[in-house]
Amino acid sequence: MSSTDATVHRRTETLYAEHHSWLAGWLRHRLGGEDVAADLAHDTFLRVLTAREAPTLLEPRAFLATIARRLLANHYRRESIERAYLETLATLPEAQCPSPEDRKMVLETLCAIDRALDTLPAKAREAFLLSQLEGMKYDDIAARLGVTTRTVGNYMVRAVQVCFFAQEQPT
Amino acid sequence: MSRQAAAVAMYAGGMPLAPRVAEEASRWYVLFMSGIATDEDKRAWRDWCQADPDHERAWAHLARADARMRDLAGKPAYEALSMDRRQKGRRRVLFAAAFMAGCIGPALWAADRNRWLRLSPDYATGVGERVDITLADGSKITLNTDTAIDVRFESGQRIVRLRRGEILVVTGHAAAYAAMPFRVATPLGSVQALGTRFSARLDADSVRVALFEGAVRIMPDQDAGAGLVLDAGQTARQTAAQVTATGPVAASDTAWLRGEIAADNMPLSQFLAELSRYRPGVISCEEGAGQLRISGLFPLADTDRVLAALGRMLPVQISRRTSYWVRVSAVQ
Repeated sequence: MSSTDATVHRRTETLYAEHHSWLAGWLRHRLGGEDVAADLAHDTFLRVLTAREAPTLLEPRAFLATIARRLLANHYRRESIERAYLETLATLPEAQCPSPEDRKMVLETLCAIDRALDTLPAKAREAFLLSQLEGMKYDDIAARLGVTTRTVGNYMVRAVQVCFFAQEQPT
Repeated sequence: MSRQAAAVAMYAGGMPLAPRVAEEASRWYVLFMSGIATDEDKRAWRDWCQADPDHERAWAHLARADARMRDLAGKPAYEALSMDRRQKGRRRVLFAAAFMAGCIGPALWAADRNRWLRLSPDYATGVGERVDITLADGSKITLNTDTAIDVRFESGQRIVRLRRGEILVVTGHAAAYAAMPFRVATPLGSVQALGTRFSARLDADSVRVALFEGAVRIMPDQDAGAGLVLDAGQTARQTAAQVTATGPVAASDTAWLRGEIAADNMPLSQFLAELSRYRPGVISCEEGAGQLRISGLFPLADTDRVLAALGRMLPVQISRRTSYWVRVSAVQ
C-alpha cells in the first residue's frame, strides 16, 4: 500500500466511524426498513472507498447523502422494475414463466438496460423497447410515437450504441 | 436525472472500441432490423465487416447482445422497462392480460428478425473462388469454391458454421478469446479445435476432416459420445451417426489451397466430380470413361484447359453442347 493509499484509507475509516450511524439512520428514515438501509449505507461507504480521489471533506454528511441519494434512486427504480416484471409474469401461464434463478438474471439485465437507456430522450427509449422487447416493426413504432419511420431509425441507432456498446458507468 | 450523454466509452468483446465503429455497426444493425436492407446493402455490409478486424469484433459483439435481447424479449420485460406503463401503476396488470393473445408474436418475430442472418451467410464464395478471411480472435479461414460459413462468437464459444463447401481453419489465439472453445459446426456434427490447423469439407452425407497440426475432437450430431480425437497428419470421415478414421492426409487435402486438384491414381469419374466443384454447370461422364485412372496436379484457374488436357492424356472425347454442359466419353 502506498502512502497515498494509506492516507485515503485512514480518511475513509474516520469518515465511517464518525458518520456511519448517522447515514444508516438517514436511510432508514427514507426507506422505513432496517435491512435495506444497512445495505445501502454499506454500499455508500464502498463507493467512497473505491473512489480513487477520496477527498478531504468539508461537508462529509452532504457528500455521503449525495451518494446515498443516487443509490436510493437506483434502489427504487430496481424495485419498480421488479414489481412490474413480476406482476406481468403473474398474468402468464406457468409454463411460460422462467425459473427463480432465471428471473434473477433477467432482472439484473433489465436493470442494466434501464440504466443504459437513461441518457436517451423518452421517445428514443420507448422506440428501442418496443422494437427489441415487443418485436414491433419500425413503421408501427413510428405510428405509435407520432414520429416518422426515419426518426425511429435514428432513435434506434442511438439506443443500440448506448445499450449495446457503452460501458456501464458506476453509479 | 441529470446525467450527461457525452463521451461515453464504447466497448466490444471486452476491449475498447472506437465510437465511430460502434456507430457504424449500430447503423448496419438498425438497417437490417428495419427490413428494408437490399442485396446491395448486404454486400456493402459484408465488405464493411471484412475491412477491419474491429468492424468484425463490433459486429460479433452486436450479435451477442442481440441474442441476449432475444432471450429476454417478451411482455414482462417490456412492461418492466416502459416508462409509460410503469407510471400507470397497478392498472397495467389488467391491460397485460389483454396482450396475452399476442404471446405467440415474439417467437414469430424472432424468426423473422433472424432471417437475414440465416439466409445470407456471413461469408461465401462463388464457384471457382477462393477467399482468405481473418476473424476477430486472429483465426484465419480459407474458403474453397462454392462455400458458405457463418461466424458466431457468443455464449462463451467461437462457432464457425459450415453451411456448404470446404474450409481450412488456422485457429487464432487473441487473448480476449483464448478461453472460448472453437468449433466448426456442420449439419452432421461438429469439430472442436484444440489449438490447431485443419480442414473440413461438407459433402452431401459426410464431412471429411483433415488435420495438419494440433488436435481436434470430431463429434457426430446423433451420437456425441462416439466422438473421435484425431492426431496430426490424419483424416477422418464423419456422418451424422459416426466417425471413421480414413488414414493419413492426402495430397488432395491441401492442393486446393494452392489452386490445384491433386489426383493420385484417381478414377476419372471422381476427378470430374472434383473439377465440377470449381466450374459452373454440369460435367457428365460416361460409365466406361469413368473407370479410367488419372494422376497429376491440375490448375483450377482455367478448368477449360484441364478438360482439354484430359483429351490429350486419356482416350476420351470431350463434347460440349454449351459451356455449361460438358460430356466426357470413351473414344471407341
